[in-house]
Amino acid sequence: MSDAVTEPIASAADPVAIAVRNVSKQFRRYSVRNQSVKAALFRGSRGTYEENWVLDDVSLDIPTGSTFGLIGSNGSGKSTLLKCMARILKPNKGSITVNGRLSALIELGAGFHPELSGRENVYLNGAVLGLRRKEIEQRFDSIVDFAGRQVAQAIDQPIKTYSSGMYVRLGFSIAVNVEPEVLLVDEVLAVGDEEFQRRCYQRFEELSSSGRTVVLVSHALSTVAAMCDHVAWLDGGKLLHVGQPQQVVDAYLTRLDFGRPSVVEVSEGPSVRISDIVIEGAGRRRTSTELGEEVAVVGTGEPVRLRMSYQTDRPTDLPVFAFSVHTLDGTLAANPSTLGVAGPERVEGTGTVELEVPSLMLVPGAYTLGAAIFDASGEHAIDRKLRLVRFEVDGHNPGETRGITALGGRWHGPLFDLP
Amino acid sequence: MSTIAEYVEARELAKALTMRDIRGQYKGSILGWFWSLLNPLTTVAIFTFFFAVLGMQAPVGDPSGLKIFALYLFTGLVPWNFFAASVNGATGSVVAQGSLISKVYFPRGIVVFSKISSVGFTTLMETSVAVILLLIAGNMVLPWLPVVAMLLLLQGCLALGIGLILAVANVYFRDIQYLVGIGLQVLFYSTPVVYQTSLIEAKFGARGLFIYRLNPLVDLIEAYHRVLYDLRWPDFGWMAYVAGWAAALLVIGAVMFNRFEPRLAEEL
Repeated sequence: MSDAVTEPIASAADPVAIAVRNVSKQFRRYSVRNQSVKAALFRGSRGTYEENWVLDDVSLDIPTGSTFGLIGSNGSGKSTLLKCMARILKPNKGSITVNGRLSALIELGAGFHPELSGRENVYLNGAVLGLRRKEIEQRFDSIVDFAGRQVAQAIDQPIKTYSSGMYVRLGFSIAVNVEPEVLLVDEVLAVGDEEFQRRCYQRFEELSSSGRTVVLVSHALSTVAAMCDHVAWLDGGKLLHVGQPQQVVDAYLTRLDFGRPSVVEVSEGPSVRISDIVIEGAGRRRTSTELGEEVAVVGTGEPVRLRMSYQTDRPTDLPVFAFSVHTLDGTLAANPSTLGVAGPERVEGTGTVELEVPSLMLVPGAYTLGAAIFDASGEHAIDRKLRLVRFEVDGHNPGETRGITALGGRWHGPLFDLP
Repeated sequence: MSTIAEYVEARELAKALTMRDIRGQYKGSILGWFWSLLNPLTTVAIFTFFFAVLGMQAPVGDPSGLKIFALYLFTGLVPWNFFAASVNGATGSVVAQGSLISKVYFPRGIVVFSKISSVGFTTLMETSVAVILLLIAGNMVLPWLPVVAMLLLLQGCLALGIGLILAVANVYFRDIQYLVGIGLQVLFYSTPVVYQTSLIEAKFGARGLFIYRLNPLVDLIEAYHRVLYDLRWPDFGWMAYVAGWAAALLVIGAVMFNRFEPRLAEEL
């Protein structure tokens, strides 16, 4: 954890739910694998493999009662770490101590038998998750309730007759009703419809507000930022960052969005700060139903101005300015920057930078706007504020409502009789 | 490595997995439970027919006086099937439960144990049928049932020891499963399931018989014949020998399984 910026996340009084100490995990990547006695005898070996460190000296404390997020790109080791916590995998080095009963949600409905009824599978899966029969009996009604009416009606049917949605709902319902002291969740929420996901998150909140610890591995960064009170970022098997969710998620997004190392050089403190970000359209605003606050509304194809205000502590040479526009699910929609295009030689005091967009070609929907300032090399972020401003796009063309970009084209062809 | 306390803790899971196996086995089939009896009954019918064609005499139970070849076969086949199905099932058990093992933590030996106990359940059903048939034939086997229970338990331990070893080996070498199938066939004919030990003695003498009996299955299966067909006690000296095998295999199996257990999830 040599270069990690670790903040003390637990005060001394806070008992630790999971203590991870110098954990390293190695996988064998076989190039030749002799998985039969015959092959092994004839070739004289079980195979050749490379040793591959998936986790490299990771240490962290997960405080009791926290909702802890693990983020990182694919192959960063976050799922491996979760499996080590769940004791499915054994670390090659280091130790993991778990205080309290642990339940891992790595696959919904683990051990379900397709020929058995929903009822029988509830008991089976409950036992797999470590419940006694009596405990399952006590929870049975609430499990079926949570899974929904459709599942309740089919509870005595073989589970092979269930739709995949019912299967997942039943699996999830059992898992969250186990009420473990520590719940590990791995990406399972990527399944299911929005309504179901919302209920899942609600349930996690209930669990954590009742003092249980939830560890979440997820790609849904906005969810992680909203739900978790601590987030750890793993990269290439190393722990890069642990701390406040928004900070860590921002740092991670900066890396993703701008493709550059994003750990800010904080030795002297940033020399330039973004003080404000504004999106200026035709002046329309409306109250967002989700946020309950006013947001700017821009029509597809209308002109907008994106503006950031900055404040400098000391003169800074050749800063690079950039905006980022994200969809709500975290996809980067646009990422204009001044790198190699324009930009002042030196900034001092306060000032603003504006990007004039002649027509905003986004399809209707909700977006977020963020901004970043890099140093002259474009390598280091001096300051970044991601997803700070919410705005909405509406449009009048019913033919362009999906995807991210509107092309604003004109149709031609024999069948069209356009006004 | 899992401790004994963890296994005690996970007994509910062992029960649930056993029940899953038992319930799942014949779900969706028309004849259901009947299948588990059809298999040994068919084997009995085939052997009875061929031995009748060959003109072989049914062994006479001593002291029971029973002289029905089909019942002699049945009292040997039920324990043999227990052995064959439990070793075979246990060998494949860890690989078969791979998705569970890589998704959930529990002491992995549970998988082997529950496979053997679900086979044991089928054996109990078959044993009940055997007991009923023996009673109808006039063999008063009821007082001997505690001995049968002891034999089944001993056999379960033997199968568990072998199963633990083979289940791990099968993760690394997937053709172990096939080798086990071949090995079981050889064992079937070198164990007195369909014939009597007296045949071996007549052919190879006392020395030959002694070597033959070094195979612990010989006296184990023979014990069922004696208790259920002959209505007399098994040979205690040789039973101790069988128990020694079971204990040794159980220790070796447990040590070996525990050594490889932590790596199972990633090797699967």
